[in-house]
Amino acid sequence: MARVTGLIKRHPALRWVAPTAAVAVAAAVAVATTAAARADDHPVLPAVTAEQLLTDTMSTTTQSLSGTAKVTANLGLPQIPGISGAVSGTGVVPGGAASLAAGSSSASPALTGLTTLLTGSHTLRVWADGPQRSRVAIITDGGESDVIRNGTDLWLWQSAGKQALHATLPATSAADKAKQLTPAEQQQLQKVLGQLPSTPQQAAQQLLAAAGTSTDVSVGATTRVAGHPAYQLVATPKDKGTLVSRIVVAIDSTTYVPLKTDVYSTQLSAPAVSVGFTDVSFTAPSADTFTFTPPAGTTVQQWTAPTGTPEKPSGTTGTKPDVAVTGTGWATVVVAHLPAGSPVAGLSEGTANGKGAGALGMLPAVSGSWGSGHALTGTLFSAIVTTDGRVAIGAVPVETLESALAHAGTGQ
Amino acid sequence: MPAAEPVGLPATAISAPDEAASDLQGAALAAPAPAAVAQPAVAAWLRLLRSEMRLMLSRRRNQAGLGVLAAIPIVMAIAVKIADPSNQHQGESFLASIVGNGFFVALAALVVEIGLFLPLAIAMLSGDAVAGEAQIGTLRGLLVVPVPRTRLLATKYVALVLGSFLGVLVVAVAGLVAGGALFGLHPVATLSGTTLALPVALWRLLLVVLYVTAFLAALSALGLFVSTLTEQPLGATVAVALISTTMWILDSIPQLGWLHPWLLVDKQVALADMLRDPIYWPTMRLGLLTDLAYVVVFLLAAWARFADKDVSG
Repeated sequence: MARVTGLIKRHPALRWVAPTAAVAVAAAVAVATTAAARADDHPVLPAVTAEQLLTDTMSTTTQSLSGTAKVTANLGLPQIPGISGAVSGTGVVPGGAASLAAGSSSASPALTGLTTLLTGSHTLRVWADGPQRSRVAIITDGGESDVIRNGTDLWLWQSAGKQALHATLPATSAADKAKQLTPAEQQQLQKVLGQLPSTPQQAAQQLLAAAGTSTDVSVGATTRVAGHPAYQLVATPKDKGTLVSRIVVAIDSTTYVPLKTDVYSTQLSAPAVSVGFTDVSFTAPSADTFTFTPPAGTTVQQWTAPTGTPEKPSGTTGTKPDVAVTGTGWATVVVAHLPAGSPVAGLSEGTANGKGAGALGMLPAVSGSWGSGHALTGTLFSAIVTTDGRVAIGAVPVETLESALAHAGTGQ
Repeated sequence: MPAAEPVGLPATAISAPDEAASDLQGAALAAPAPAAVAQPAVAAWLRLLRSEMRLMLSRRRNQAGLGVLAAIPIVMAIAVKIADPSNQHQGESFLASIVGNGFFVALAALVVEIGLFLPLAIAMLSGDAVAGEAQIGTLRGLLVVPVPRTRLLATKYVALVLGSFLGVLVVAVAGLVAGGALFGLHPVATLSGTTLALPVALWRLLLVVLYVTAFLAALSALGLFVSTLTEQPLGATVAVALISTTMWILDSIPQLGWLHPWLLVDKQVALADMLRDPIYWPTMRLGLLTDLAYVVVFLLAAWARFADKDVSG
């Protein structure tokens, strides 16, 4: 120590080694933690088959968890005002911190918080205790949107403007449902139930068999999600005509709870949609996590679920729904006629009635032998709205939609 | 109540800095030789700190600065009170919540002042710390007495941190008093839609105060370093204020997203996370780590610079 002090006294410039080293250490720690989170970590786990993995996932007994999840969506959707508007920019001063203090001047429409998930990257806090009780909070800068379910109570809360929506869900136990059925219906139900898989393993087998014609399901390399070693189940569409490249589900190796889902597009190297825990524990959250009492000054809307069997729409002009399906499996394209009077139906006349038409007008125009319209080119799905009121949608490129439209047009 | 302390001090003469500085020298002279036992060394250090604090609090402009910090929440509360109620926008903000609960005056004031007023206060204090004393010549006097330069620097830093805490506390207390008087203090609705009893909410507010203090402590380390670079206190003050403001501006440019995690100010508005239920720590944890990194780097840099600084005077 004395020698170091002496050395520093003789060469004062040597003191600068200390702050320089501190900068280096701080930078190294920051870079290393980021890299560690991103690194391909393949923990060694006992080998499993896809069927075993599916079976274990379906029979998991872990139903309680609390954690933080990150949702990233890059669907290639255009920036539509109102969808991304609720996400305020990061704090800036004087502008930013002031914006946090003052909020955005535009009044937010009710519960826009949920739709913010469609674009960009968001943080969720998740709590669950069994299938009946859950809470999901979407964290935004200086705000929050919560979805809280406690038995038959469902609450939606949005801190912006202090808005809440309360719904009472119908009790959904199978026994309750069965009591309301006629004897004939009950017989039918028994028959269907007989065909349903009675064990998770049977369910896994049926699922794999059903997927087998269109999808390759395999077990990928092991990974680590939120510190938990996990298996990865990879579903790859056999049809190369689809925009979906593959779907990867990371499944915790001890509890068999799915921890992360990545949907890859053929258009991007990074996942188009990624939902995964960054931090998770499988302990039961305290009961008061799921109780919600709107704070004083909250605007509460009540929503009641329609009771009884839904009535068939009586006033529709068409006798049968104008829906044509072309293609199979992942490359399925649905072509439908929009009902008259819908906001986009009057597009051909150029009447921009409502927000939908305005937003549609911003999409690039396309035309072909099938007519003309506007196309939405997403990373996982595309859609075309034609000027004659048809809409084509599918997990395929726009070109496939155009040929489907042409095909559907000749078919009529 | 610490908030009232500077006001309660007897008004000192214009020559207060010199008097207080000589007091500091006296304290330093009283310090025992390094060979002495730990107990008197601690006592001597506390004396040094106390005289440094007295020097800081007795300066007229520092007292005026505290007054300005306290005025902001009062002005905000009055402005909201006299504003047309039909004009109250329903933003996702603390400001919008003030009407229903005076508690939010304190939070809104902290969020507003964290951008300019509080960093400016730190810039002023840290400009005085080394450069100011170097300019008026008292630093030279301090250095001839047997107080190691490192200990002197550490004392000045601790005084800056205490000053930061005092400044933030004054804002929060003034906000509570003004808000309480005009709107009343009620149980606090969190961003998560739960309601906190007032004592719990006040505890959360104290955590917010400490979080902001940690930010200012990091800025103080930077300020102390800048202060060792010059003998012009005004130059140091302007430099620190410019650095702070520049960081806030850079942090607002989305195209510089790669730079944001390295900026001291990036995680500071996360203080809103204290108002979630339960408290959401990850962003604030990163913010505190950033604060810590700035403190370590700039204190070491200040030490490296100050130890072989030529002090004229």
